[in-house]
Amino acid sequence: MSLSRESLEHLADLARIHLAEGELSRFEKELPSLLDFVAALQSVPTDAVIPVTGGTDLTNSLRRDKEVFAPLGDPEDLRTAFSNSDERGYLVVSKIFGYED
Amino acid sequence: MRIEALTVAGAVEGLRRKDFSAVELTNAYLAAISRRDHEIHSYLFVAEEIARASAKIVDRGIAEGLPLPALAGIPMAVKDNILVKDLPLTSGSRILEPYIASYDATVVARLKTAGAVILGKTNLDEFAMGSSTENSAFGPTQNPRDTSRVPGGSSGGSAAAVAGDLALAALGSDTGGSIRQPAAFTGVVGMKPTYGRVSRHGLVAMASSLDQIGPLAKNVEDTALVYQAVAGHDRYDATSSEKPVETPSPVSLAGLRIGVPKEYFGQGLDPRLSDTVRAALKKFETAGARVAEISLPHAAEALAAYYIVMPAEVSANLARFDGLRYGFASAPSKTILDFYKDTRDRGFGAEPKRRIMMGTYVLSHGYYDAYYLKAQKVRRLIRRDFEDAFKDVDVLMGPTTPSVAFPFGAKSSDPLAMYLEDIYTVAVNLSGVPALSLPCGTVAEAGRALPVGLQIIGSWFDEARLLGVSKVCESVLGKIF
Repeated sequence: MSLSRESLEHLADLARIHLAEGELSRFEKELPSLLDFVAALQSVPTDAVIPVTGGTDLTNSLRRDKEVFAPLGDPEDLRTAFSNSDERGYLVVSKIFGYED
Repeated sequence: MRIEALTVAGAVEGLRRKDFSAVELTNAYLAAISRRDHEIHSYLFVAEEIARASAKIVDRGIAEGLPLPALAGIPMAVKDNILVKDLPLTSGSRILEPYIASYDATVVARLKTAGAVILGKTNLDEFAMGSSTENSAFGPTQNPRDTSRVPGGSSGGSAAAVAGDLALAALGSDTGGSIRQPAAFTGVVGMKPTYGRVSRHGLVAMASSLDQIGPLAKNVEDTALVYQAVAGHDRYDATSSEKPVETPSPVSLAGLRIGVPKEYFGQGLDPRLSDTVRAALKKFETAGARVAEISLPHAAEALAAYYIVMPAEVSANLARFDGLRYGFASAPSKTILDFYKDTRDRGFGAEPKRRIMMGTYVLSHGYYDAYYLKAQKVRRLIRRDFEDAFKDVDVLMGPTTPSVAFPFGAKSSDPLAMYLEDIYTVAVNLSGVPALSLPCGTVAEAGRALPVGLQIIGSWFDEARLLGVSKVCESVLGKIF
């Protein structure tokens, strides 16, 4: 199987990763060989086989409405996990609005 | 105190008898780390002060005559994709720097409740993707049995720390063999519990339907003690099971039905490993076990199914690393898309990128049915193979890996060669059953005795028997290291 440069660049766009020229040419060779490897599955008969949907067959893991949870973390601790926060305790992130397009 | 001779159970007993204090025990390990870890590089971060402070609390308890919890004062290492409050967490990647964990993973909270002393965080392949630790953004870990070779991966730092007497036990995580393969390469015991047996809350997700946290230790008894401390239902992980955790009980080999999957002795297996594993099976048979060849008909397809399901889940889980929430962020760009793409380009190494691309492909419109859905159907068949096998046998046994620990660089240029390292371990994750790697012998190479791992696979939630069987097998095999 082969993967065109155009498809590869589209895939990188979908994955939100910029790939340098060297990586593009490397993946242009590697991804098709990995896809050929996993294509071995096509010959396995799977008619009427129910696909697995997760690591467990548990469904609807529910808890009682009245259960009270301890908070997962102190907001103060959470601030240390972020790159940046201001004196009011707000977490500062890069702007995501107001770009040119 | 000779830490080389210590075990978890022995160390707790030593504390109880006041042969040494918890602070002395912790200091002995911290000294070993500062003496030898520059050569092994098993740790990414050592928490000396915090470790001494927790050891002091244990000593105070002993002085007050309080009952000692199961892991009182035990110096342990934690893989650096598991959160320990107030310590840095990298997951082996640049993209999380300079993240400091704001809470304890459930397993870490349970270790602390059990009295364990956390020495530090261990090296791993970036986001647990790899079989050698060569993919760590912070440099590889060396195998203490032969420092010219890899320790396996992705929990290579945890395995090397235990094998090199730089921790008495450790936690790792296993998505396709990442506890068992490094345990095999470094000659220690490592167990992946049943999916759902141990909480994943506070584990950096790689492939959520496959990931499990588990122990690495010097022997089966220690492995069981750590496993019991961390296992059991957790309200913060909805996939964790409410089934009670049973205490491992002694098992006799007499009449034990051992199934040997013939597919695990096929092409690609180093004949020296085949001979070593078969010699171990012969010893179990002599001790009364009934060893029979069985078949797992879809074993050959497991690796292909794994390399569809895993990257698909990876591409979804790693989408959160966008430079906005935590960790590394690239300089502001012209568009938000450029910002994401630049952050992820510079933050991720080659292997996460490769798997994100692969996962994005198999999940994309028009390919989903042919790849992801097909793989999830084959996964059902792989699971059924194990269900059928466990109707006739109590445990399954075979080699953990197709080869012994390989030299640095031997497989790093060919992704597929590296992926083949997981050929005997991935089916276990795809079907969810528990499995353990036990040292069963050595192979001599260039004057070194390189460990060989025996993989013992149990039925779902049957860790008690798996550990019981492993313990009796360990005693039949005798001392290996």
